[in-house]
Amino acid sequence: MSNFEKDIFRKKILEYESKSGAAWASIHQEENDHGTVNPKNATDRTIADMSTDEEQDSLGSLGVHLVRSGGTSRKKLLAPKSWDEYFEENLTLSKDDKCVFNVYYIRPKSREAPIFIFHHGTGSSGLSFAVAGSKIVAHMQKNADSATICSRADDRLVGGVVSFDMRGHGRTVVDNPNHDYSLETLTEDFITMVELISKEKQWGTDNHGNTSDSFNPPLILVGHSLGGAIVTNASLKKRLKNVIGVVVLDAVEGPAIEALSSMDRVLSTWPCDFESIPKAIEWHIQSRALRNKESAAVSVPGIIKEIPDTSQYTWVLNPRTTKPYWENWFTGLSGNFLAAPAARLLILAGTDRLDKPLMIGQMQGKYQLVVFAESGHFIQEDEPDKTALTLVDFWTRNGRPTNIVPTFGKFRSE
Amino acid sequence: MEVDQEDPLSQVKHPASTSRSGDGIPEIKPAENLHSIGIGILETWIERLLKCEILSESQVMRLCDTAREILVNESNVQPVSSPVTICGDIHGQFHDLLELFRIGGPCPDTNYLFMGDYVDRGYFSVETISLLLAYKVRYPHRITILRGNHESRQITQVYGFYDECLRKYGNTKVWTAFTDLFDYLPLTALVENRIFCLHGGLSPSIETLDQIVQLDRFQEAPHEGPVCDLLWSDPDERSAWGVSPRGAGFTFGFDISSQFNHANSLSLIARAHQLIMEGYQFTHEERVVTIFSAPNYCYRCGNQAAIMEVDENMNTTFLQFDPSPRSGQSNFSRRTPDYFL
Repeated sequence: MSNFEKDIFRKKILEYESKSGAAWASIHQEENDHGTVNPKNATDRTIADMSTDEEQDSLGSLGVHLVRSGGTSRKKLLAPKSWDEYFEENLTLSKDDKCVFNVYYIRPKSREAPIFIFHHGTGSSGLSFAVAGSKIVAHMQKNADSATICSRADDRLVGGVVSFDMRGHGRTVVDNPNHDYSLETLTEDFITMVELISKEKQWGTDNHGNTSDSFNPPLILVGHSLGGAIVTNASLKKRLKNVIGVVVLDAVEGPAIEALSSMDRVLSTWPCDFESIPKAIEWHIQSRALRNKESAAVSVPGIIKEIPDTSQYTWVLNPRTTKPYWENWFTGLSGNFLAAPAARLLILAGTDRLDKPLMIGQMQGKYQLVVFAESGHFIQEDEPDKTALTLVDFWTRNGRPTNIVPTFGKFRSE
Repeated sequence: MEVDQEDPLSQVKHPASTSRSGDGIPEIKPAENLHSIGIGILETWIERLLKCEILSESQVMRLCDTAREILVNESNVQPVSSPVTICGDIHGQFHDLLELFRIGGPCPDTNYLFMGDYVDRGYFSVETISLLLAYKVRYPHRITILRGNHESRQITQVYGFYDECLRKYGNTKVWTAFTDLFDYLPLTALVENRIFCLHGGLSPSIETLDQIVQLDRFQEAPHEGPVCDLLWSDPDERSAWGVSPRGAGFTFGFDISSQFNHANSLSLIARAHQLIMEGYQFTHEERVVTIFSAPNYCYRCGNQAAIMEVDENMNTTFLQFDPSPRSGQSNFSRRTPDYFL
């Protein structure tokens, strides 16, 4: 993120704070406080050790090196935060007894308001969108407050949020004996989950119990990384009604496939277990895997679990389990994204790493590209304010387009 | 909306087209301050730049100061005489710009009109903008340079020009000087009152060229409003105005171009901003032409480039070209990948 953009976002955030009484700036400052490192917060065993069929990588000690770089400290560890600080509801939605999705929900305030449906990436969980999701709602509430009708806030403008744990992740339970993580299966899971919550929350039903497709709220599908490939693929199936936007966070086919060969090395730097949840949160911050303490405090508890009969914690899912599908996930993503039958937004971290189809597509004006220069891969966690503002602006622009007529009367009369 | 079926060329004798230069658009003024640098010095600078060598920091400052004095007197709708060769995006592809001058003829033997996007993405944005400014200062009536959406502080910080300035000069003073200058670039040009040239496209807030003349352009490219639209909009196959998928500007249909050209007695809108695989493309039944002059864009897109020659009789000819053999792709460093699954 450039200084100029930072200024703009900071102004928007300050404007928000002055109206809502929230104090995001202080959270922001805390983010910049890198603190110091406790060398004992990760053991020397890395995630590579967990996988017996993978070759050990010679750079496996890199993670330990990173962890040691900061010296010791008595600094108090961050306490985990609970989902209910960010979402209104935590639902369990079953397709059948072999497929039970764990879903977080914030209800939209009206049928016209959009619902942002999030899909996380591998090794993450639905809680990855806790902070950004709640900030979207807060920002829309701010807009509603300023659009008062008869001195009352126009709450109809305030949208909702759905975020869930994909199979193998978080607290979702899907019977998956063959470790099927193919793009088609994951897309099917996503569509099923949306259909289940739509039914549960009666999105297609009006106050009198009538059902119609026209009652469906506008949906904006937002996927991070692998999730981006899934929501893009889901939009192409055209089974979900009223999808007005498809958003991909930091996933581009060309660079992703080029980098696949390095993933084993990256994963080998991850510790395999943690003494406690706060220490797991601390590792994510110190290793810069996550760069926002507030978000790490709520999301990390969703990706680790207690090892039975020990006091140790480990990952809910070792991302290597999904390795046979890595190439399948990203192949064709750029073409699919450009063909998605909705408004398209791509947010990238760092620089504009585009492959040829997306470079041509961008230069032909086929989608909106936003770059957060200082974000890590987990854009929604590292930059929740900017992500929320960008998504709300994307909705405002594409979901509620103002009726465009020339300012001057001449054209209309001709 | 009703479509204007009238042949735009039959409008040549329309009274509005002859009276325009009298109402609002200033006549071209000579650059009195040309000698504040001196022709001899300017020519050594141009010679150096043509060898792809950058100017010193203080030279860039002087160049920008002098260029500003010239540009501040240009109109938002800068009048341009034919013959002229009209060019689209360059994006720091300096060696391809040299190829463009080989094909179109050297400056000042050929008059040029560039429609913005000189910087970002390519690796020689500094050389590209420096050379174009040096030509502008040396031959102010022979070359016109308009503003593109990349001639902006915000965009250049994301797409490479800021980093390039920092890398080549060790500080950001040069970037500041260039981007301050960008605020002075004219938004549009008008060739012989017939061909309207700009980077992006039309705006729902603008119906007439006189309204463009009234805009205050001396500012950072805004996020919305008429100045933003002129730099960002695209023609579209759908009629009327539409939301632009880019997130800025609008899309405009055949009906809009048709009415705009009719209302302003124009024969053609020439614009850039969109990559065209063949380098140029007519749309809206030849009321709009898109010209893109960066071949093999960003060293990977495989497209041809084109320029449009307009002769004394307003006949147009397109020259297409391929990337220069030494397109100058340096060993472009890739970031070590992070976890991204």
